[in-house]
Amino acid sequence: MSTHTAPALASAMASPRGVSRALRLLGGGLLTYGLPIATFLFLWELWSDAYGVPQLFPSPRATARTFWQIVADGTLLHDAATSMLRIVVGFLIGSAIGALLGLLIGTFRIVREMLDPYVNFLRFVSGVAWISIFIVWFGIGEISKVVLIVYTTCFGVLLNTVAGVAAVSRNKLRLAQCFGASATQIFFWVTLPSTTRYILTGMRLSMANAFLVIVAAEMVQADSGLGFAIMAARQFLAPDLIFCGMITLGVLGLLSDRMLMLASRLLFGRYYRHN
Amino acid sequence: MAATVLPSTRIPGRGFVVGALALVAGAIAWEILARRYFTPVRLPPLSQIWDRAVETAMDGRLLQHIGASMFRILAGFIVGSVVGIVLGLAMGAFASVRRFLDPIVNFLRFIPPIAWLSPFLIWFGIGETTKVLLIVYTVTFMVMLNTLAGIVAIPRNRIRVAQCLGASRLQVFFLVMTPASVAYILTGMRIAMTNAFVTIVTAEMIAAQAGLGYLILVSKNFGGTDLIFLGMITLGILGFLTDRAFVYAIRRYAHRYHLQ
Repeated sequence: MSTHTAPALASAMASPRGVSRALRLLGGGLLTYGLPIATFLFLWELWSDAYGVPQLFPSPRATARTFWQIVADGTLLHDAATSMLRIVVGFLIGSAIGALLGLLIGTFRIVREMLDPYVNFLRFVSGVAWISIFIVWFGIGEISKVVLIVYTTCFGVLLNTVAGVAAVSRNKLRLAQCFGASATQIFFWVTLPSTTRYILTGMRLSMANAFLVIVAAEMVQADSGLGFAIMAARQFLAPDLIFCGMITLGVLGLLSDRMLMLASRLLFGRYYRHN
Repeated sequence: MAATVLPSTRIPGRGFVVGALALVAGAIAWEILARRYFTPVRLPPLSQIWDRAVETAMDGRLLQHIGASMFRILAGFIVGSVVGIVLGLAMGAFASVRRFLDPIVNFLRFIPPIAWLSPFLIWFGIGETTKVLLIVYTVTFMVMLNTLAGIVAIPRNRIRVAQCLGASRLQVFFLVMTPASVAYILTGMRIAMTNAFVTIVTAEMIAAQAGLGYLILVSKNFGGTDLIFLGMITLGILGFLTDRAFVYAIRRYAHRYHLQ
């Protein structure tokens, strides 16, 4: 719904006559977003009151206080930055490898047939299952976490790229062939552009998975990052800190998803136009 | 999206042979590499993993871990699916419910389910309840979103036809909307099952005394790399089998509702 409101608001603001309409839209936005969120916070407050032990179930107000506190002393920023760095590095490497492998699998039949059993088996071995083995191989430092993200991202992007290559319209390929395009030309001028959309979708799905995996990895073994913060807060029974960590995760996840979407529309918008 | 692409169930031909050959070649390469260049703690040979598989299968340990994980997944999966379907249908059928839940759902979906492990541990202890609830949460979300997507994807004209023919709101809901979303519900359940495996493995790594995630993590501590691999391979096989069951169910039961 958010996708509809913003452009409508912008276009309404463009004309002077539209200002009153814009105000109405804004009011509607407040109602559609404000009301549910206010109700949610209210229920949370009531529930935490009813629970009776603020140390176990803090109210939204107590959580907000803690939030400001850890924003002010920089711990939250440090944890968030650590997690994000791991995600971004792993995500970029993994996307590149995944897209490349996906294009190879999609283009060459022999590669596809050879890797098919591996891909079909490994897609059911989630990234988190690799945590142990990566720690054995790469130690408990940053490398094992980044490799975990690389693996997760690579897989998501690969599967979508393969689907993208398979979905290239046969007639487009035939047309290019009729005009005398070589295999290389077909790959760069037909297959790659039509697959871009799928690669980007794969990256978007992988970003969500990357968050999941990094939180899991940091919960299992790390000394910094949001997952670590959430897990450590449990040990000294501070659910307000846990909530802060979770909310930060949600906000970061939402922001990176929207930014990825925006970036792919801006940079690769023309590949979205034709279906 | 790749998640909705159903693998073919055709009888395989040339591709199968090449794939099998590649698999055998990979296994031989693994065996030789592991024996020549790595210690068993770094990379155990496949034969050692197999020996360990036979050993743990015989003394019942493997089955016990599988049973623990699968029980948690199935219990959480069934409850989560029911809740997810009901919520999704309610969101799809009533615009007011959808508008109300939309901002909340849109925020919560970006919090990885596993992040709830910490508060759940505080509230419900380290027992089974925590783990099952975590699966319920994971599954509910995915099934709900897909059910909603299914109802949103119903062509308006199909609903209009039913209305023109005099169907009541209740009839439209039960005879048009619900059947049309079956394929989406099953797809949501299929994705949710994959996610449930991810969630349970992590949860068992952090807080459990049994289960495949526990096996994978605890084996690391005493250099049992062969057991780690055994756990991972078992997870892969279980995930593959449950996924196939869903592919079969979708083909069998959702086909008449025109998937795709």
